[in-house]
Amino acid sequence: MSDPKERAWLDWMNNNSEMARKYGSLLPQQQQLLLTVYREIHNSRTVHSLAAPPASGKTHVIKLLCKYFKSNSFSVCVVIPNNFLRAEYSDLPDIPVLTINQYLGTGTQFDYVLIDEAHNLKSSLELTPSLVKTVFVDSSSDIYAYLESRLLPIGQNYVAKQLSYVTSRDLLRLFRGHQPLREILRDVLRNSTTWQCFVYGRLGLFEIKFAPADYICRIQKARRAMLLFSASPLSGHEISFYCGIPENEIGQSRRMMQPTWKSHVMHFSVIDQLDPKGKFRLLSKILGKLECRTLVLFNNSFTCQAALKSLPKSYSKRIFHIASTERAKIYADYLARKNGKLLTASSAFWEGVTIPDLRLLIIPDPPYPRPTLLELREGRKVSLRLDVARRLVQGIGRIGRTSTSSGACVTFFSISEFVGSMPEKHVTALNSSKLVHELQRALNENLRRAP
Amino acid sequence: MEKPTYHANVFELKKSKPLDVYSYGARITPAVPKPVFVYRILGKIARNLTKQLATAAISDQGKIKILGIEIPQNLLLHSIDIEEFGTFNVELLQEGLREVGYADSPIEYTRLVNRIVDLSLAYLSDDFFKYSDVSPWIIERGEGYFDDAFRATVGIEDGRRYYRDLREFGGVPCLLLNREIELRSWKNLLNELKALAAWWSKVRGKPIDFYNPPDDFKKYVNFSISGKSADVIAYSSRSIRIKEVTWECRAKDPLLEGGKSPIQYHEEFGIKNLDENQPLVKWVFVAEDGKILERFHIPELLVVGHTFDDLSARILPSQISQVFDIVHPNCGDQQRKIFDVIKKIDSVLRGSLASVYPSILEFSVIPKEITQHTILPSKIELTFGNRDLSLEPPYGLNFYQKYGRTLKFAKPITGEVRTLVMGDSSHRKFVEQLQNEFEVRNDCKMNVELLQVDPHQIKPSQADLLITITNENSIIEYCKKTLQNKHGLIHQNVRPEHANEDSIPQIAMQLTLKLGGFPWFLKAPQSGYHLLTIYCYRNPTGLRSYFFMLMTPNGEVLIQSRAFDSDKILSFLRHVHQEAKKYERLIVITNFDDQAVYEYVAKDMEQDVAKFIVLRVSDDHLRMFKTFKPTPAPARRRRVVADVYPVEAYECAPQGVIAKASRDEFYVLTTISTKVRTYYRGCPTPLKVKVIQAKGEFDIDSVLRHILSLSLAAGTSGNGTRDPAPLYYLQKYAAYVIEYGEPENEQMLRRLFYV
Repeated sequence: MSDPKERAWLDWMNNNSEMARKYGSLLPQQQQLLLTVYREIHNSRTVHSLAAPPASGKTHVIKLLCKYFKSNSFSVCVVIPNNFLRAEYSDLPDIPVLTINQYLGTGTQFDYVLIDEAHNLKSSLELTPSLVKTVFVDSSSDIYAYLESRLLPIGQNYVAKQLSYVTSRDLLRLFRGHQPLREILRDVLRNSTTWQCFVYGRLGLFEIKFAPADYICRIQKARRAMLLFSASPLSGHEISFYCGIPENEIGQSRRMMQPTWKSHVMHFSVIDQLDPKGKFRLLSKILGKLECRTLVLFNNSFTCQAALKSLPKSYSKRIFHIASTERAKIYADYLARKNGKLLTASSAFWEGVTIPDLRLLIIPDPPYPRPTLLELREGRKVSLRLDVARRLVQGIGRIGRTSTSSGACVTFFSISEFVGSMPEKHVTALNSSKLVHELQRALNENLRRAP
Repeated sequence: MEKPTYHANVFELKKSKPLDVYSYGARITPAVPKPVFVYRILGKIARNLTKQLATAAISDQGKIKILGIEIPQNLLLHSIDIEEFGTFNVELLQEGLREVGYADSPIEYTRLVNRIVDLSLAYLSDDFFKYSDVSPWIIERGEGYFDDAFRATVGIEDGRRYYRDLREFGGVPCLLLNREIELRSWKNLLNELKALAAWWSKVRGKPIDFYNPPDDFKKYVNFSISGKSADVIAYSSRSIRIKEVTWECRAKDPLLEGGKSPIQYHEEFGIKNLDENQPLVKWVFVAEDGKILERFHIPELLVVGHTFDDLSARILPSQISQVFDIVHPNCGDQQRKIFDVIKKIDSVLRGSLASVYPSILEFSVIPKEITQHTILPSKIELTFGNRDLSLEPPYGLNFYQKYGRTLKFAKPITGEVRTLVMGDSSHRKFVEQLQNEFEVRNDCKMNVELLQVDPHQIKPSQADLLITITNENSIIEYCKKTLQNKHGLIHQNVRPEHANEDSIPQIAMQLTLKLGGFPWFLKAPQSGYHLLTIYCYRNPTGLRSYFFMLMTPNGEVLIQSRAFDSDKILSFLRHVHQEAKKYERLIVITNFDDQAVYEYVAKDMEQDVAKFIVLRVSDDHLRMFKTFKPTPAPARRRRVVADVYPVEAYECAPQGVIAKASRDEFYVLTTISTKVRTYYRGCPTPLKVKVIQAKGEFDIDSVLRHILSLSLAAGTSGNGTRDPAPLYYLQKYAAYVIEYGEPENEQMLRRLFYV
């Protein structure tokens, strides 16, 4: 680094950082990220996709940038993919922190927009009802049989693909006869040629999505620069599709080296072939015996609800369930309680949200593959098996996010069937009868080892 | 992993017993004012009888034909109301009974079966209708796939129509049922024109008065509509070819015999409440005495057929994908819809025509598997200057991408090529890349001069090749008509939007062909016969022009004729004969159905050509499907990933497959499902190859494979073509002649100057 302006930029950041004051300087990854930001915002592009690996101190960098822009009289806001990240920015009182939906709704144009966990934009926008219309058809519906025969390939129990327009119109005709579905799809029915249709389906449940044909939304651009921070940065093509920004306006930074550290998380995999009731019984046993902050990740909301019902009523004070309403409040209550147990099927918790002091992660079933709309639209031959593995690794990654964290992760299925090998992680395969004892031992040991 | 089976949209006749046909004449009182009323009256009677007697009653050429049973005495007298014209009494008079069997009278039998299918859909079901009894098309009623907002914007709606006919497959008569999407005026042509005016106003940013529009709108309308075919929606009539839409005269103007207006004329037939001020459609037809006559029609009574190109000019880029899905549905969608309709026909006939179906006539509702009648796709080998290329099916798109940098064209251009390029400085890089590509592929030096001058200032002797980069039609026209046709200066135009790196290989190929070279040849064609292709172009008024071309077995063009109008057909055929007799073995390819011409050609060649086979290559409505067997979900422990298909269908058109329908009829599938962005869509139909005549023994398999491989012989783009190369070239030649006229320079006829 020979440019005096770059040096001055870093000096300002070091001088204004609490962390730098406490530890003497910013982390090398943070300095590298700040330099990248400096170079990016001084090129001609207006949108910048920046790589920032996990545990590289990205949140601190974003806060520092906010301070810098604010002190130079620029308007700035932080955009987060969901409300669960809001707590991390609670010490920025005079900077607007908006969820992606709030940002889409705001009419204000900021000088700088900083988007945290930008890879979550994809799922966040795909799940925004005003942008992507989604209808669920389960096996109790009278149109389910038609969907299964028409859309589910013979011999397969899962399907994810874009539908031809002819098929999507056939479905729309079908949905038109159902009042609730007709209401959801009002815009689509009115002007169907501007929408494209996708299906995620499995035996028992079909999710039909209608997304705008050209791009998901046209996001409000920043006056000076929009910075998208992510461990897996979005490509120009993805930003173009999801945010409606032309690719030639998007700058892309090089990937940074992943910081090396090893967490103290032990991994267990149950090798019994448990049926759903057996899994619920095992879950109930674990939640009853182990008192620590716990996250239970389900692969769908129906199973999550069923598991919740199967738990004894005496657990209710410790159990939190992220449902469709009051999500942020429930999450805040959960964080307020040291030994809370959170049950959810929300995709935000599968990838994205970092729960502080999480000690135990339970995954009863492997996740379903979930290729993005863009992947389906481009007809990429998505490997569903690899997609399951990717999501599973993401889910497992919710625990042990820092070098100081410790805990245990347990899957109620044989993990090696989905993920061939997990580098840096030793997985203990065991019977369900021994699980609770082993978990207790592991958590106690971790407690002793933890700094 | 997958075991393909092939099947087609043909449904075997499980029962095809001879049909007893009772024929009845009709005595109508009072006399009908116009002959067209006879058909309307008899049509009504036939429909009534069909329902009353549960058998097929058909109005056919002024008679009622009824299958299986005699009309009882009490149903021989009918009283038919024709709105506005009163009541007509009809007495049916039996004329005879005839047994019609498929073996003895295949054409008559086919006609009867077709009419039974028509009855089932168009008269015994409310979901379909026909524009005309003689038409092979049955139109599906109801809402299309375009939504209302879209229709209102583009003025075009999508319709589904079904073609029905009998075909023989493996010696068994089968019902062929094909589904096609047609694009047509939304409601009627007047409505479409109004939608077009609204769209025009929106695009131009200022409203226009539809009844007195500006000249540029009139010009645009005629650019979009003229030359198109229109159906009359108000009554049964043949379709017309539109010459022009004119605002000079209106529907209320006295343009017809006796000072009647078109509005008054139609009011006589009970068609009322038409817009009096609407513009009129001018159309032409050739009378029996050969005179070309001009007529007027009312847009409100017409619907015009459209193509995807017409539509794509009026839609947003984000809608193209969806609209493409409708216009070119994938094989799965096509198949599903065809099956739905065949099941409907079957159930309607079982319920309403019990005396005929299924006791005498019955067809399968399962598509015929044709695997045993097919020849599997084989590889096609091409030869270039310094290497050979072998293409396995599916032959794919843009195989030139496999070229490599060192590949030379099979017949390269040699020496110096003086080239003038008319473009601006922004095209310099493109021109340099083109020059480089052209020189790499050929053995020549391309001396390029980039100019910004009016083409009128160019002297033809200045150069061997002129490249223009423009969208100006007047410049292109001058270059083609004057510089190329009169002075022999080869011209290539590149649209500015295509003046980029992606277009360079294709343009280099076209330049090579225009200058007399060939990018590649077929390697060792299977039949080894020279190809004589006779092409007939039929213009919108019905007049015909004839062309022929001689090609070596490996795809090099030797001779191409000038255009001959149909009144000079004998002179044309003499030319054909003169050229044909130079060769001992010939495959004669034609694109038209004219028995007299066939016989003349065959008679001429009989004496001079040792072996020849005359083939008619045409489009048909048969579709072939290759059905995948989806792999069952793999065992969990095996590292196998289940297949994911890019569309929801498991069927595709099996490119390269040849199906033998009968002794002299074959189907060759030359094209692949169309590729848009990254997923394959569309469901192409094969070419029908019919053997008209042959002298000597032929291995028909090798002849058909030769025809198939010729679809990769046209060196224009590196893509396969639907038609075999000589037909494809002649189509382009005819289109060039129609647009720019014929070249005066004889040398030009030895080159593919029109590609």
